[in-house]
Amino acid sequence: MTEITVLRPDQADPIVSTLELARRGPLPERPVVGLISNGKPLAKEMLDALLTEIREHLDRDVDVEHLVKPSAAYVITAEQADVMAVRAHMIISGLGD
Amino acid sequence: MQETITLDADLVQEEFFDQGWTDGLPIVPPTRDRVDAMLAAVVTDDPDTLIGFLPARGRGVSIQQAAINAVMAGCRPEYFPVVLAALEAVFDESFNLHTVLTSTGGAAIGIIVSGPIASEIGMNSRHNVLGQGNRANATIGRAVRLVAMNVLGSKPGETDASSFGHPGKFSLCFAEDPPPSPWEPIRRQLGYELEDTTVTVIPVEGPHQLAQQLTDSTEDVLRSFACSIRHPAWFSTGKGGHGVLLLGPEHAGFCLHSGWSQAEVRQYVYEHARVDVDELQATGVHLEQNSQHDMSAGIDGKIPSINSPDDILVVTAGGEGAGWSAWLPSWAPTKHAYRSTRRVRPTGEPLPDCGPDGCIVPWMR
Repeated sequence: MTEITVLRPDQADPIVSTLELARRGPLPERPVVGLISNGKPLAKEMLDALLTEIREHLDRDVDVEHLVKPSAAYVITAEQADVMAVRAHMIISGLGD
Repeated sequence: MQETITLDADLVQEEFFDQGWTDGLPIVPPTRDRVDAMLAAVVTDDPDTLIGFLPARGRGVSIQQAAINAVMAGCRPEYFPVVLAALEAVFDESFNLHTVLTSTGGAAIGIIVSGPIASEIGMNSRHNVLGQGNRANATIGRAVRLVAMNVLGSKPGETDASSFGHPGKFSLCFAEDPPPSPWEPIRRQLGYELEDTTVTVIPVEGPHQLAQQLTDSTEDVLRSFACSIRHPAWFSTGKGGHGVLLLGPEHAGFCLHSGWSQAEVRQYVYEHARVDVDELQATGVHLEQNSQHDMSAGIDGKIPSINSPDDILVVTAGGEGAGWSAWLPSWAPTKHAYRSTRRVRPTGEPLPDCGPDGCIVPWMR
């Protein structure tokens, strides 16, 4: 058997830092739901439908923090993520089309 | 440093297929000698220097990884500076590589080479320019796709979510046929020097051939092309897209003989690619509302298929025939991803000193 030594063309999966999970505390009487729309058609309608389900599931009213991306092709900025994390008790990121 | 593996030489192709390291075609095994020969075409003290980095994927591409995949693609070492320039260009923020490689739209990475290096390495700019048969055209484009697959993890069924894709995803690379004076080659249109060689990358849908064979009227030729550009079922129609208009010798000749500049060609095509909202809806297209695309009509009742005249890259290419040109439509409107261009550093020219973090483009620092 003739052997050949080659270089691997791929890359190992990136090392992901261990992240601390968000606290799972009791929800306040009026929680804040973050909605991140990717800007595609019907994204708002889909997120609103989910919000209605959440209200019924929790059996309480909620406040809403909206974020609409100007382009589905870009991720939200770190600053936007930080603001959303501070303000919202739960976040839904939605895909339109 | 890249790992090595030792394989039975008779089974090396099967192993690469099994590992998912190919595009479905056999590869040239990347031995140390072959990779070193590729690296010798560029001047670098450290082959692990990063060409670019994708934060969304936590992955970057080193010069050595590019060389390994260029060997696999079948590149000759003298092609490698062009491969590197193409990879540098796709890491430009405007190109939005992460989404280009992810979208269900299934974009190819179109690669257009303008300048003396294109002919020095034997690239094709003439007959069958978008087809098979030229090693440099085929393997430079293939190398970039293999890097996307193997190094950036863009594989079908994983992060490459293409619903269809198209044959250009194997390779879509060609050279510009230098236009007759007073028209200027791409690199001059984009502000580079005539003696430079540039690589322009653009995320594109499949090419569409355009026929106009019974007229030498510049207006008739370009008006019919604009009608094709505003095709109702193309994603960018009415949303401000961009693209490459490849003018064949006959059609470019009609424009030149009529005294049209390249800017006038762009302006005329841009205006005639605007689409009437009623006409678009009559074809069954539903206009987006409250979305990322503003599809509200202008005062002329129309919406733009091309974002602006400058968003049409006019390129002369192709061979003489009955009268053919081609349109390479952008995969998405300009707001999502755009073309970018880099100068090719000729063999022997040092890479820029970017410090200990490597040659990462500024926006990622």
